[in-house]
Amino acid sequence: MAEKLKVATCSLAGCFGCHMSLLDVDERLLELLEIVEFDRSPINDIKHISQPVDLGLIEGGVCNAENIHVLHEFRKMCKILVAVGECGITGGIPSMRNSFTLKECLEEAFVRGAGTENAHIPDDPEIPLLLDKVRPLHHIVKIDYFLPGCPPSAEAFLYFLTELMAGRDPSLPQELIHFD
Amino acid sequence: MYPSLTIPVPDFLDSIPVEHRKDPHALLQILIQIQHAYHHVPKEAAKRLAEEMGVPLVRVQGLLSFYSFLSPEPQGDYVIHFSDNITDQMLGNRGLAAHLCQRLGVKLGETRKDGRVSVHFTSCTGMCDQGPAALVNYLPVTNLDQERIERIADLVNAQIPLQDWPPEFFTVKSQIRRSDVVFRKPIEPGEGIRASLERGGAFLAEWAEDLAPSDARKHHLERGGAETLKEIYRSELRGRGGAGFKTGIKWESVRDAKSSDHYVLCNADEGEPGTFKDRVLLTDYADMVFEGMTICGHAVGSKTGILYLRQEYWYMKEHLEKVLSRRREAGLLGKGILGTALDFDIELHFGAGAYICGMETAMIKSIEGRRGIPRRRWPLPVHQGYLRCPTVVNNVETFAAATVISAKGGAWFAHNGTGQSTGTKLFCVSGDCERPGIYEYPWGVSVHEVLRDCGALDAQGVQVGGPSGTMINTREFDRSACFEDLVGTGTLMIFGPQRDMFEAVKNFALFFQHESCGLCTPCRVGTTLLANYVRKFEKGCGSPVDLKEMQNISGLMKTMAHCGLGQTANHHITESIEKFPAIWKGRMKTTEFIPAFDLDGALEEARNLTGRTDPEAHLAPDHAPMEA
Amino acid sequence: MSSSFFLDGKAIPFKEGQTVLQAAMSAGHYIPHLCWRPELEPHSSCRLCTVIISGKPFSSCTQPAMEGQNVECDTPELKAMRRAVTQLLFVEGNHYCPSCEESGGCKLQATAYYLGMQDNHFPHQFPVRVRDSSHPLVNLDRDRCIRCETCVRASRELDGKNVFAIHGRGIRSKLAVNSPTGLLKDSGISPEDMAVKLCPTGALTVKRVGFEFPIGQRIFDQESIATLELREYANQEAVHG
Repeated sequence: MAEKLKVATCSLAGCFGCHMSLLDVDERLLELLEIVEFDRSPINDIKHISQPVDLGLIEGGVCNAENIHVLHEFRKMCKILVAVGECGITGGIPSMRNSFTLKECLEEAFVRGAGTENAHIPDDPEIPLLLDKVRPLHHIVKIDYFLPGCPPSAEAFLYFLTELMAGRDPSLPQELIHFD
Repeated sequence: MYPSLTIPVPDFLDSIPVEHRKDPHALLQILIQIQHAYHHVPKEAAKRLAEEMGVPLVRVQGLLSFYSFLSPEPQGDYVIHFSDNITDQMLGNRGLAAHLCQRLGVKLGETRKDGRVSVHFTSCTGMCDQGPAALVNYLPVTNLDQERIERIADLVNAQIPLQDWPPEFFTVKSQIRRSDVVFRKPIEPGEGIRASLERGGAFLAEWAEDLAPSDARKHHLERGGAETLKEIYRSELRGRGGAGFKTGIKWESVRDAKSSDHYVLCNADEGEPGTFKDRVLLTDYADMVFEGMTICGHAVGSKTGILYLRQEYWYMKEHLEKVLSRRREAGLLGKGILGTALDFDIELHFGAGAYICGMETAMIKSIEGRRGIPRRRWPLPVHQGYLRCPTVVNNVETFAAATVISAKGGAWFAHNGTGQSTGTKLFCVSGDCERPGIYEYPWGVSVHEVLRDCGALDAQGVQVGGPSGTMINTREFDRSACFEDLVGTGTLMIFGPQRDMFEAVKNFALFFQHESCGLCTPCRVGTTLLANYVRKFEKGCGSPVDLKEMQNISGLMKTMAHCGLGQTANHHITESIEKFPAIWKGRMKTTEFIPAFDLDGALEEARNLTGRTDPEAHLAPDHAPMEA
Repeated sequence: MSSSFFLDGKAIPFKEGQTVLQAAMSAGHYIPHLCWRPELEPHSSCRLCTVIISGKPFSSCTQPAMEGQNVECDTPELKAMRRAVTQLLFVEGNHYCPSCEESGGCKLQATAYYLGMQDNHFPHQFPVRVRDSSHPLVNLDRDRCIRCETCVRASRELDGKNVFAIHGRGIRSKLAVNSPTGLLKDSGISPEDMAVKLCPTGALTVKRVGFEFPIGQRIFDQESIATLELREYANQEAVHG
């Protein structure tokens, strides 16, 4: 048997919807697991990539310092890095906050918000610091491929992975390209 | 100090002839008058104009937001615009502007709290051979230096009216350093028109017997015009504005186009930074320009000419009006020119700060009182131009050449120059040289020869034809200026060995971003992305990936942009990468990819909001911003 | 005898006065476009319909068809450039497709699909633009505006109203509303206006009718923009000749 494709995945400023869609391949997941092996991923709860992998799938844009660290780890450890879904590709829904200043956002949530007591902007060092804007992945590191959709459909995931593993250009056919 | 600033708006508007106030085509010209009177366009004035003209208010506001010199918000009693061409920068304009702001206690781009003064930067004002320059209340002040800046600060603080400022501040010199066959012995007023009219003369005798006098006069006129057109063809004159279209073909198309009215427009928008030949021509040889327009009117059958000047040349208005009335008195303009049936007159129109208006269809829209947006390619202006009538649009220098051709003949003219570029050309020389100014050479002169004559043999590079033209390095100094090789407006900005060519690239990138009209996608977005990349390199954070992206965007603009501005607004990028690679390499990190923004800087706002200083509140600070 | 030109080598018949784009569409060959509408004067600002004739680029929506001319349209280079220009439109604005009620019916999005656009490639500008939700029935979301001026032209040429204009210059140019307050609520706009109907994106939408069709049943879930536009054009020609 050929060596399995090592894959790592993560969700940054995303909703895990893309991961859910990947799981939506249903029983084909079993076939998929015949050919791929997951390293770091929310699917198996491995926290860091243990060794260089072939493929990294990243869902979500970049909204805080921790996202940057994770993205850098992925870029370092993944031969091929893929931005998955609208948020990873464009910033998506979280980037709607870019129309406001960070101050406006945080005050709206933590100071002026209904029912807040002892209102202040959280400053615990445990909490990753927010970036001024939410950005797509390609602003921070080189991205090799983009898999659009909100989320990309299970079919799009399968098509993309199959083509990539066959060593072909994984560009989606028109009917599989969706931004929503 | 400015009495008009206090005139009630209704009274001021009442003083404008009512037929103007009701004519939407006059909208821009009236807004300029209002701007000059009030140093902004008061809301009240905009509203009333819209009502009287019967145009939506949104259209008036559209003009205010398009032309740089019109402002909806009040400006100071003194409005100072520093020219910000690269040649001004090389002469230290930035430091002078900062010093003036400091002396006056005003921030750049703002108006002082007491409403006394505003200070801005503006694109090249066409005084590159005597910079650094500025406009004070729309009048040019040249040769700025520390001493002049101190004086200006004192004059402003003491509220001295402009007419009591030292007159030498406002001196604009015509530094013609070299004349060739055309300007060594310029054409006398009337010489060109007379020759044009006389071309119909030989035929008059034959007709006079068969035709009524008025018909004979008309035939005489038409024949003369046709013969003059032949002379233009014989001269092989090509437009001097940069594109080099054959003037004869243009004129004939207009002559042949059926219409009740035909128009002759002279393009004195001269917005290409580094270019100032039209300013010198209109100062010293306005007669030759007006005469060329009149000859064109004769050749194409037009009665109306319009000279469109950039706002920066407002100071010439009085002078040009004087020349026009002198020509009317001499029978060289107006009804029945030199006693023939030729009627032709010329009006002055002004722009209000928009480089794009140098593009002929944008200029036509501007003269029609609209935003200067280039219109679609078809129909061509020669068929449907100004007011949808057949229209000749030529450059100032082209009309001056037409006068020479009419007076001396097409063959005489074609004797000079090269095979495809006949005649002589005025070159605007500025930057690092001993003798900046205007140089007349036959077409085909080498860059090296110009550099020798102006005293710039140590140059490391020359920008030929302005920012939209060609950037050359020492290996190309034997190239020649002609349509076969280095075309353009005849502009040479010279960079000495001490200069960092990156500064020029940055200046041009920001210029194009500022001047893109915004109509088409590739130019509107492309100029902004290019400017952002240049800023990224400026911070020393470029990468090879970025260079490739810039070339990619440049190629996109070249093919996909709507007009010449967008198609050429990338030359400075591609050419500097090719010819001055070191300026880019020196600003690169060694890595393959660098973020589009400063990672640690992006946490600054959150650090301030939370007061956090722990290690987790920072990211490696080795990156720079490029988002605008 | 009818005249014809060649589009990527195929003979395309045309009538006197037709542009390259019109003749191509009549003959069933789609050329991507966003600012062009059959019922409006061409504008040639989006530049997507650019073709190459004798080595030079022209916008096919304004270029008159001429006998025997060779027009290059679907070359790999032009396709890539059209995709890149569309990407420029995406990064200069704020296009949040997943939450947009126009998604699935949006011509900008459908054109991107047609051009095989999978990402926005360029750095996003994240401009801060003012939305106008003042009108009870019509919403103006400038984040989604691509400045094609379809509404400007439709309001003037079809609705006879002049509700819209473009203000500013360059990257800062923006859609302006002709009303004393500059707000849509004080303008003459109505949800039936062609200006609203023809907006190719979700910049101008009618309120209270968003998300009418579930995902999978929206216009461009079912067919590509090429198919739709060609059919609409043929219908229009059948009616107006």
